[in-house]
Amino acid sequence: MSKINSITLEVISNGLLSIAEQMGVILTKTAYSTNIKERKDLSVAIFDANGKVLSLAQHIPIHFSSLFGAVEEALKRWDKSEIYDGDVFIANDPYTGGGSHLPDIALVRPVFYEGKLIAFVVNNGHHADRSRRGPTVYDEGLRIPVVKLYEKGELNRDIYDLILLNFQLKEERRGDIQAQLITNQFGADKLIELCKKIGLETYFEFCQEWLKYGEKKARAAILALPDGEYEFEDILDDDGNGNENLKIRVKLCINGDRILFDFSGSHPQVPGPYNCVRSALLATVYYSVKCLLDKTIPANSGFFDSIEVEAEPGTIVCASEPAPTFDRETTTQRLADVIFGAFAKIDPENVIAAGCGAVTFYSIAGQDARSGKPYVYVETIGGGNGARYNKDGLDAVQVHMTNSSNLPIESLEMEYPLLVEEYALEEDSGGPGKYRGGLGIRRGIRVLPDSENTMLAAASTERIRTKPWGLSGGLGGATSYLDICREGRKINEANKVRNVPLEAGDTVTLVSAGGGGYGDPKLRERERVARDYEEGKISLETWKACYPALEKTTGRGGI
Amino acid sequence: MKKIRIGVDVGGTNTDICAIDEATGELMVYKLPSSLKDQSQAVVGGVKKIVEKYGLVYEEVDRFIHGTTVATNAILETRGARTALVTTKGFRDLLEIGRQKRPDLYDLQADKAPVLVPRNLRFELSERMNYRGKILDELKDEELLELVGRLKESHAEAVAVLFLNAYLNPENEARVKAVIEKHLPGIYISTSSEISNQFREFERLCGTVLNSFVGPEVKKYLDNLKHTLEQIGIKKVYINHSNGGLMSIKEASAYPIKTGLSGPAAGVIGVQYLMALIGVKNVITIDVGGTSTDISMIVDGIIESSKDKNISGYPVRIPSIDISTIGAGGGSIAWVDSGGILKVGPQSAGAEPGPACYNRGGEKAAITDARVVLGHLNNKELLNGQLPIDASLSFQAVETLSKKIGMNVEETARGIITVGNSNIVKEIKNVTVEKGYNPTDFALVAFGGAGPLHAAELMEELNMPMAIIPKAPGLLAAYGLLTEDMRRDFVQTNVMDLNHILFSAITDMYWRLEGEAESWFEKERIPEEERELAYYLDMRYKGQNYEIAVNFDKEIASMEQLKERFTETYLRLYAYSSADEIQIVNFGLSAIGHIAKPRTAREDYVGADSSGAVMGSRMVLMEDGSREKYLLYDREQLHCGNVVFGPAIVEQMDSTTIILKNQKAVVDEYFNMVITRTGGDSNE
Repeated sequence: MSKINSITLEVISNGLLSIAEQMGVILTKTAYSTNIKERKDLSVAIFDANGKVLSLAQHIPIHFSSLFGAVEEALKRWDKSEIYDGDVFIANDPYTGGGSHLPDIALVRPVFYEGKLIAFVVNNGHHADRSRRGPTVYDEGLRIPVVKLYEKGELNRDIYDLILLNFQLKEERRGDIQAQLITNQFGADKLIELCKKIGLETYFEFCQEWLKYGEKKARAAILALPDGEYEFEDILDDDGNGNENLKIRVKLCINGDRILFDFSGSHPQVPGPYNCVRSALLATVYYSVKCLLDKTIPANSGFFDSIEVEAEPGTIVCASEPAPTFDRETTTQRLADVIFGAFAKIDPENVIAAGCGAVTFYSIAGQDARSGKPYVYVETIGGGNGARYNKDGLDAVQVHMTNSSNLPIESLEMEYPLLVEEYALEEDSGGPGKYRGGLGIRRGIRVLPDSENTMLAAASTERIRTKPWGLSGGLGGATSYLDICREGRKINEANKVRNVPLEAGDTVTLVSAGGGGYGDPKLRERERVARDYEEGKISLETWKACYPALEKTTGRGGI
Repeated sequence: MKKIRIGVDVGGTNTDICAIDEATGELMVYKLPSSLKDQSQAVVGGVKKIVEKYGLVYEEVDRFIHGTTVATNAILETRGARTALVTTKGFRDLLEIGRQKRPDLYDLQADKAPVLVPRNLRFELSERMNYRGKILDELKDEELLELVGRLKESHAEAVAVLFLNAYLNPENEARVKAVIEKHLPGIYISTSSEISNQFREFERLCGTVLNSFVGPEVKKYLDNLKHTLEQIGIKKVYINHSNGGLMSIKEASAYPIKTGLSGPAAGVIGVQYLMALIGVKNVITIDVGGTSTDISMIVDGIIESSKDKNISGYPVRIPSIDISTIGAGGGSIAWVDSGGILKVGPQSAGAEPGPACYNRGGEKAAITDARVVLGHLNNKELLNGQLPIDASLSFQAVETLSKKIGMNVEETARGIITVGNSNIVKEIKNVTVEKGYNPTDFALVAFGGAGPLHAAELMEELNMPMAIIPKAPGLLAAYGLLTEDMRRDFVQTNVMDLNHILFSAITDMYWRLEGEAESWFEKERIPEEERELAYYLDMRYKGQNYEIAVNFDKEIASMEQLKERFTETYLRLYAYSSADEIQIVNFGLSAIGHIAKPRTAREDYVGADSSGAVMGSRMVLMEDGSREKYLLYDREQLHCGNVVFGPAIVEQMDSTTIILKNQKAVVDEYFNMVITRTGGDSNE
């Protein structure tokens, strides 16, 4: 008799999730770099022996893209008979290593029990080192296909040295890789413990049933959608290399319990670092399905495999070698916008208006005179999120594919020779509507004299030209911009920049976009408009221009 | 004259009162429904009742110790004072931006915790300090005066002040406070450097704002309570705080946020005390109630605390007992999801309508119903007959569910328990791995009304060596209050590289904190012989952003020893260490004013024979569908040395303990039941 039923399925999957979550805890705690530790730029997963995802603990949806390809590539490259207990694979390459951009380094450990390969435990961390960007993936850093860092428990010192040599912050990289190794070791031990307890037969049976369950949940959710075809398109501003208005489009085809996401017609791949490989595209699709169909669908391959995705190789959403992919997360934000837009045609109440649609970030590198050591400081800035059919959009949050936290100001000022001048909500940036879009963020940072050879290694934002769209009559949110100022004068023209030398006293200010509104602004309750005005979230001009039927009567407080 | 110590713990449903005769250890208890609108009604009313019931006189009441949830409830219900914020220019939105994270990755309807200060009540002053606390930009008098005017106009009842980097230099915050106090007397004010001297501005800001937000209400409540108690002759009044210690009413009024997580703290203190008596040093505690389970750890006799907790979505960096809460309790509802899997919780039937068997309109099967079906719980009545049970309703509810998953009623009831336990097990594993421990090295102590029901099963599931059920599992929080000491925690961030300082720099740094502790001792009039200082350092490898607490005791007399201690601790937590440079991040000092412990009732060895406590037996449904006879014991009749062999069920007024096959429970001299396995170490 089968040992897997409604109860054991829940109990064992809970056990697996528990292992994945514990791995996430261990990686966060043992990691060395601020980026992994404090910003939790990491993901963890357990795969079955065939490379199917069983369980996933993620903090940032985009990260998944760098995770699930690695096992697949390993199984392509090695026959199962060549995979041994004690092996550890390392990979980051988007084209041969299952990654999605080079900073994400995945470590894969096969798990053996009673001499049998039973699973892979995998984790992935974003190694924020010297960021490199160029017209091809070769310009973006060291490419690591899936290689064995360990074989049968023996470290391949040559590979390890080769990898470390290619990074500027070696100690940090070493510490992070160490943490990743420990995390996988822990996961493997716990998985073996679980198998000991339930028996291998039950475990294998569970794997099958668990994937079926994922598929069942996904298909049930798809079946509930009305059959039909729904299209939507939008553009990315540019690739930072002069290629503008990059179209991204999707056609949803729903038929019974099948769903196809067809991205044909999207812009060809570009020389700027904004190309997505297929795994990044898939991560975005899975994220959207979870948000829009059923967030309780477990993130396993049973679910993933029941979603069909079509995209032409060589396009910005499904890039081919050697397209650069460093900043692919920005593109996945627009991909999510497009998918949400298509679903809005089925039922706008089930989606939200467009959010800031970017991973707004900057990376400042230099030499810290206080310690004499080089530093790299990376920060991503949230923005407004789209309004909902029944309430305003969230102000100042990370949207869609990312959800990393900021670095505390007091922490960053201690660590880097920089001073934060301003960190504020951007007034008037929320798209007007019956429900207002969320406000974007304004953040300014100044270079201090202790910083030498300072470089704005990169800064990027999106939605500079097109507003995040509103829904059902709601208007778009405000666009975003970048200001680099020297002695009070703006010195940049582009909004995506690379390698701009900075001097002490220069300030870099990024303003992210606001979210789109929902519903006709005329229908906005007077009280809400008045409160927004009172709080300085909208100006008098906006009040007059967008909510004309409403008269200003109250005074305005605040400084 | 007798010396009576009274502990009053206010819970969501009941206010529990425990009084103890300090000399004899005689324990007196009284329970009454909480008065939710004004907690003090039930508190004072209950005290009067217990005095009446046991024929006490107020003059005998030596100490009155109170665990209050006024602050916690105000936060949970976002109901507080009209609060203003004063902060560094450019940063008034910090409160709203937070860490930029959205509350849920996939739930588009999820919202952030409400912002407690509206934007127009957040005022900026042009001042700035750098990362060393050096003033870069001075406060300006004219701005201060303008601020006073605006605060007055705003009709704020409370103010919070936070300046960036003020954890190193409180000067500007103190200046603002002085000016506001001078011009706007009566306004409640707290500054970030008074609340916490730790870096990370958003968390410090939240703690400060919350403090001001709940301050006026808590102050009023405590003032009234003090007044009322004084009138009846009770003078020594103490308030329980989140780190499992007591403070004066005055301190609690100034720092009410310190009580924010105190609700479940007293129970853990009670466990710590009881376990110390019997020499059990490593403990995982579970406090299982109707809707949730609280989990905490005691390691080597010391309760694990944390500075990184949150209340209702608001982070607070104030040392607190590290308690994790999950939505799993007796009322947790079982349901079948769209993929056909059996889930339990986090939704709970609570006390109203409660599980189906309460017959108060609840139709869904809760964990309690599964226990009734299986025969774990009395199928006629609970709480000594105060709560009648209709077992047929439990059966119906579980049966409805069983049809959905195509299993029989017994299997389904078992499944509900197994799934419910797996949720608790998952959380216990997360909690222990986070701290670098393994549950197999710990004893499980279960309390709360439902804790003892789960103890034996969880002990097996986690392969723990023993489970211990205290004498009064349902009253442990009120009891714990009676065993607490005065305590205040001082923490100061000051990042130092060990390679760049002399060992004496550390001791120098502590002078200031010791001075603060000293004046606290004086202020609280704690006699010198009762004073104790405990030192710890939060340390990390340079470049990391996560600190670990390292005990800094007298044994450490050199830099080398400190490094060694850090490495040891790090190794235990993370299984590796490094040759990298080590940093101190926070200097921690706990000032403790000991309060003599009341005697604990004990009994000399009576004998192993427990047959005198047998009340009968009950048939319990087993996994294979068969029924097995469990002997039924009356806890009141169990004595020191009595051995109860499983399978058995032990009933007492407010709790039921299950002892499984291959387990036995031995009653110790303090009436704890210690459950262990009868054969070998493990059941596997």
